[in-house]
Amino acid sequence: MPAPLTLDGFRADLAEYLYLEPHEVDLDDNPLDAGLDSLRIATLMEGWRSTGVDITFVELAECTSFAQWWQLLSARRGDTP
Amino acid sequence: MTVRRSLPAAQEGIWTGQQLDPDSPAYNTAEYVHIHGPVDEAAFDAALHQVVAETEALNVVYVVDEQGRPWEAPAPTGAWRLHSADLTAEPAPHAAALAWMDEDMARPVDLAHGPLFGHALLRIAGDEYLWYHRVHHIALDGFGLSLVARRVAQVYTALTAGEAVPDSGFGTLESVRAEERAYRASPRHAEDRAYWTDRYADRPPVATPAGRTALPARTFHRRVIDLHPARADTLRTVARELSVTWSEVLLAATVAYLHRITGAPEIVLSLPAMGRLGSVSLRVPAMVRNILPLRVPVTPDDSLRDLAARLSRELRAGLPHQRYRYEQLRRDLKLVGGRRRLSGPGVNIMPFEYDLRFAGHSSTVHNVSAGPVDDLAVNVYDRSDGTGLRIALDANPGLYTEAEVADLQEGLLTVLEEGLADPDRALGARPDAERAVRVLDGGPLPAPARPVLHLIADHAARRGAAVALEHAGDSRTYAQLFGSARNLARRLAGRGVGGGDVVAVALPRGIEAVTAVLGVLLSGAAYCPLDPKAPADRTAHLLADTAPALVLTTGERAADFAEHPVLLLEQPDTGPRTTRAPSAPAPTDLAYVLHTSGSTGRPKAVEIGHGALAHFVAAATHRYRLRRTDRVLHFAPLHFDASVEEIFLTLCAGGTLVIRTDDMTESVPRFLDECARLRVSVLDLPTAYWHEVAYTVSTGSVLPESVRTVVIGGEAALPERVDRWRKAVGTSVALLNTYGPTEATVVATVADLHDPALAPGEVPIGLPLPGIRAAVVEGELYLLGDTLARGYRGAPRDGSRFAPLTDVPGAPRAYRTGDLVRVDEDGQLRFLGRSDDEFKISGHRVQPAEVESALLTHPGIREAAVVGQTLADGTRRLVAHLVAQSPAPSASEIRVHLRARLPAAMIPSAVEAVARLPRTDSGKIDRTALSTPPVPQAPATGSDLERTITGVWRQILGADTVTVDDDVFDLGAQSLQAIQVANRLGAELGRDVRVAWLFQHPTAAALARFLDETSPPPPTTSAAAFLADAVLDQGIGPGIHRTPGAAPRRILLTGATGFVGAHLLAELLDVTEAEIVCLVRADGRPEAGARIHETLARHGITLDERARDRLTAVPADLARPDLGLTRDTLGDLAATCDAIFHNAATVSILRDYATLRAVNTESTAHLLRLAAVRTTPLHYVSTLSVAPPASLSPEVPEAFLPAHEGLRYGYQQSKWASERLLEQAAERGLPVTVHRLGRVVGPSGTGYVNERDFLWSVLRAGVPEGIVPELFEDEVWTPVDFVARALVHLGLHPRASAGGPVFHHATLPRVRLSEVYDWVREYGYPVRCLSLARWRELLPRSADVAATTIAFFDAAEQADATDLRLGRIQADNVRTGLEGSGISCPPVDRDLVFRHLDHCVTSGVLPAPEAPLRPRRATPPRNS
Repeated sequence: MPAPLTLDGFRADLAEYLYLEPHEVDLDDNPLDAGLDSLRIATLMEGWRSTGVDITFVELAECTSFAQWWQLLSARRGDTP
Repeated sequence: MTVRRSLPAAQEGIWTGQQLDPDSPAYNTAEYVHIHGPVDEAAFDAALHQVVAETEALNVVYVVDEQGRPWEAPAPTGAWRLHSADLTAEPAPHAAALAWMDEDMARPVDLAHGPLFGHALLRIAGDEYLWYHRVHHIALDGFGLSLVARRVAQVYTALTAGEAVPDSGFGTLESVRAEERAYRASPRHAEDRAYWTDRYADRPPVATPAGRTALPARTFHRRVIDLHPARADTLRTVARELSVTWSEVLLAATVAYLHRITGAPEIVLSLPAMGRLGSVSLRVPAMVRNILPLRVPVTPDDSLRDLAARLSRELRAGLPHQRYRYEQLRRDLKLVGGRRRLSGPGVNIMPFEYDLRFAGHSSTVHNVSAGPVDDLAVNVYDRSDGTGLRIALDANPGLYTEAEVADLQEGLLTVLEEGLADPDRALGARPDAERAVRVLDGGPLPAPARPVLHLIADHAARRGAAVALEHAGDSRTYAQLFGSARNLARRLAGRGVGGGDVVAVALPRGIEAVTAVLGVLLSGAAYCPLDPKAPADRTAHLLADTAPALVLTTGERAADFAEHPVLLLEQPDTGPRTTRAPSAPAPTDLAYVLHTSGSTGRPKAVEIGHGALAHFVAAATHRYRLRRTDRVLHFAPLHFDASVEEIFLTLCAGGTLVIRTDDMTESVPRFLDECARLRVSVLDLPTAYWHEVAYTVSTGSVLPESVRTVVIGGEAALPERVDRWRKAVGTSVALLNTYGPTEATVVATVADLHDPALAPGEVPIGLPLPGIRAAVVEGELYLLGDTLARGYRGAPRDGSRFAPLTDVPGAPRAYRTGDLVRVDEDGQLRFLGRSDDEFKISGHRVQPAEVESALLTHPGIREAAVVGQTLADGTRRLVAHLVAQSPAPSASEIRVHLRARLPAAMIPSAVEAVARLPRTDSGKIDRTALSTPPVPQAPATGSDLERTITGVWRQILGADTVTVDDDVFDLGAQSLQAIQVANRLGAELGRDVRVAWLFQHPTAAALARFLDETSPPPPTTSAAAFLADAVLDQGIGPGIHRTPGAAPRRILLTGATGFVGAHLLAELLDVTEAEIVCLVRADGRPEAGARIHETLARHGITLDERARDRLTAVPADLARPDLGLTRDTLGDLAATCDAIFHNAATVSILRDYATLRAVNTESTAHLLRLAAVRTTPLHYVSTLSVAPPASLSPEVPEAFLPAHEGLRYGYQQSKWASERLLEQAAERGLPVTVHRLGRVVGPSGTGYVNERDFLWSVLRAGVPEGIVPELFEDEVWTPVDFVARALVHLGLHPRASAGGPVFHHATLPRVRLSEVYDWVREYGYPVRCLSLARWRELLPRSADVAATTIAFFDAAEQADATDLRLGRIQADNVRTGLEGSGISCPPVDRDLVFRHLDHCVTSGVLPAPEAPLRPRRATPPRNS
């Protein structure tokens, strides 16, 4: 299993899909406004799930900011061994 | 009052789309989940029912208000059944399951009544199940479907584990609506709108491979390919390398490919977008899917890398605005309707995780349909189990053939492969540059063409009993037709006629003519039809040129062919004959020779080979979608090549050719009536005649419902008539405009004039048929392909018309048509005119030179110029301009001269003497000047009627000199013009005007006198129809005699799925030991059986096992002569049934006769034919409503009834006509009985109520509102169980029915409506009785009363209030017949009505009364 997800890793993942540098990612941004589509979200989700985070597409898609994503991801991260 | 809500934009778009074609199943979406493991069917059923109940979107209907606006109304889905079937016994279970799904998908959904969904669980192997889930797209989108599927898996898993079912977590539809409302009010909405309207302000052209648009069809072509996992991996790798997603790579490849085949500088795709990100709808099964347009500029040098980056940028810029509705954007941009569109082919990528588990068992999901396909749709399913990607290419069959879809798919994958192999390679290169010659290719034939004689022989061998021909009440099966044709072929062979010969056929349209044509072909010879009405002189010329081996004709015409060997068709077969069957003709052998007008002054004989004929038949059958069930009218005479189309297309498809009688075209309204009576489904009409039909349907007449396709051809269709037609008929009936010279076998190109995308005024001639190519060289049309004629026969040869076309690669042989055309933006051909002087009159090609040379044979004519003129209203006529010698011959003298030499269509309708002909500067005759028609002036003299008549004639003849005393035929009027005048006079005068009258009264004065004296016939055209139907075929009479009295072993019953029918079935099973064979409308035996058992269950009838074993359900279609049965089954039933109970009928108070006749009247004729074979008794269930009202007859005799004025509604008419058939059968000695019933109410024992019953639906609507209407004073009521017992007893005991054959099941006193209402009040419903109008007014629209009932009241209010109450009803035959049987009718009283009301309350149909005045429970029934 890949290394557990960290905030830096999270930023880096987002940055790749947003064509930004990790430090340019604004966590208050809305994923939709930032230009993500369902396929990108699904692909991101697959990556995060492979690090042991138990989340579903619907849960991610419901969020209206990247900060909410991180909240969700960090909460679920703890549930896994 | 129930709540109704306006439709959100997403649903409204779909609702509107559905209204374009209400019977289309295209909006059904479906998928199936393949469950790899055992399924507990009961638990699955329970899970489905729970999930359906908790899914709000499945518990609504879509109703329409008075203004035609749609509303969504909650409507809890009542009882619905999971279709469960074990297919493991099938040879190919999975394929059988898919076939079942296909059938289910083909059923349209009634949005106003629902249900909107369907479920099936199909077992295909021991532990393999397919769960099929269908939903109308208006309710759910793809994501919504996945939410439901996930929930079903969850509930099912919990149920099987015996665990508590977790909450669904579904949000409400209201939350979605609220979110949408908030969005619309937000600044965000305005921003999104600004983004899109700005981005698409230039309304970019939309390029597609088809180059045209079409309405979404009812189905679609689909090509599925699974991208190998390795290729899918490459796709993902390349995507990462290009910093895009794999879906963007697929989109880029699609754009590159579309550019490659269209050459368009910009491609605009349609992208379905989930529209749920950040939305409450992520947890609501609903329809919220949106579509985003995606425009991508392309150049041939672009690589996958270039395109992917460009496309990704464009997509990411648009995505944040994805909530703005596509439908709204089209409105904003004024891109609604016509051929206007915002975006082209769709690419739908579905990345949802979808690995459902059912009680631990894994599953795979397969899409069945994603909804209608406008043009092309690439659907990509990510099969998350690592097996790669599935790509389904869906295409609109109106735009693409299956072969084209295959090519498109292959091309798309090729571009994808090229791009993946080298992302930097230029993808847009198009091999061929723009050419000077435009070639339109009809694409390949769907299947190789088969020789026409093989196809027809096949039908004769396999479906010999199917009807091939019908003419004036006479008919021939395929076996009979083929048999007679073969006999004729042997006779011809006996006369030495065979391959290489031509046989002239001089026969009028009819069964013999078609038989003759086939017989000649079977002999190996070719046929050459002669115009029976052509002048002898011309016929002699044709025969001399053609040199037939034989003339095939009838005795009365034999003298016309004295100089040729003649074979008389009707002569007994005495000549030498050979038993050796003639050998089958080769594709290169000649099939027929047809004559057409020649520019050198003589007719030309076109030779068509068997290969060309076969190719044409295959192509046109495919393009017209001709089916075996079609009934095609044979309109054209044999010497017109349209007859080739009618005869061979129909017979090769296995359909029925309905041959027109001469009097059918007496008037256009009559023609339409006859087409309705004959149930014609395909009309093939000369355009000139269709112009009249279009005019007539636009002035009040109705195109018969049976007609689904109209093919026109022969000359250019008038845009004005096309527009009239489309306004009157709409676009649901296919209107195919065909173009083609005889030299290319009947038809070369076809256009869909019913295409709603066609702008008004547009009349294309379309695209080539499959296998045919059209080349446009300097504006002139050349045709290429296998349907070209061999050439012209005999002298004069005009070989230059057939030559290799060197402008096209390979220099294929081409026919130069002489027609000038243009290819428009939509890729379709438009006819512009002729490159020479040829002119078309009533579909005849007329070369003016041929007419001129005939004119110049007259000694008094020095110079002649003949031109065609098109008058202001589109009427076409031929005008001769003559320079005469002195003394000048009169116009009528000239016509007499021409009539002896030319066919009628070639005789000029105007002859004008001039001093000299106008010349152009170069000295040629100035034909343009001569072609300008004069402007007719309004007549000034005569009575109003006379002026109307002369006015119409002036218009049609294009002459301003028609006076009231002119004989219009002396003025050159022709048959077609007479048809036009009759038609227009009919419309102007508002009455039927027959063509024959114009011939009988050729002056306006005489016709006006005649019309004044003849009062118009009653306006109801259907009156004639039902009287005409009520004539029993002469062939039906007693067959093999039978000894009556023995116990019946087999009984045939129709209508067992009805209320009365179910009780008849139960009674027959109860009192006989016979097998009861029920004919049921169903697709197969299992479905037929299921329908019966469903009916029995619904009516609370249970059968013991022995009874069940004696019940046989057979799928059938009573409206068809063979009852929809195979010949074997039909023969078996005729041989073994000892009695027939015919109870089936469509009971409708609203439908007109034309729509009821097939099921209600013709079925009786078909069953009588079956019964006659062994003189089997037939018992017919009729209705007291066929009786005359008291105002016409104080007493209703228990006997057959003559026709009367009270037969006003279609249902009455159809039942009366049925009885009339039985009356004739009885007169001929067939054992029949007729049982007239009144209102049949629920059985006396159970109190069950027939909810379909009219009166009960009135109570159901009125009682909750506290109001009931005044409907009638009193009527006959009979409990259903009594009727069934009495009817069966009378039917099976000849002694009991001795008093018959008519029986009135009306032995009880009539029930007074006021008394019924009193009982309703006593029961506890305080109802007020109102006049019908008032009741109707107060009744809420939403009240639960069947729509047809409401419609009936609305109609009844308009109708005059003639009292329909019946006089005293005799019923002695029933009383006598039942004596000693122990069967007596229980009383219809308060107790019975109470029991009915109890039933209504128990079953929830009516609310329980609040304060019953009496104990609610009725006293138990007495003695029953």
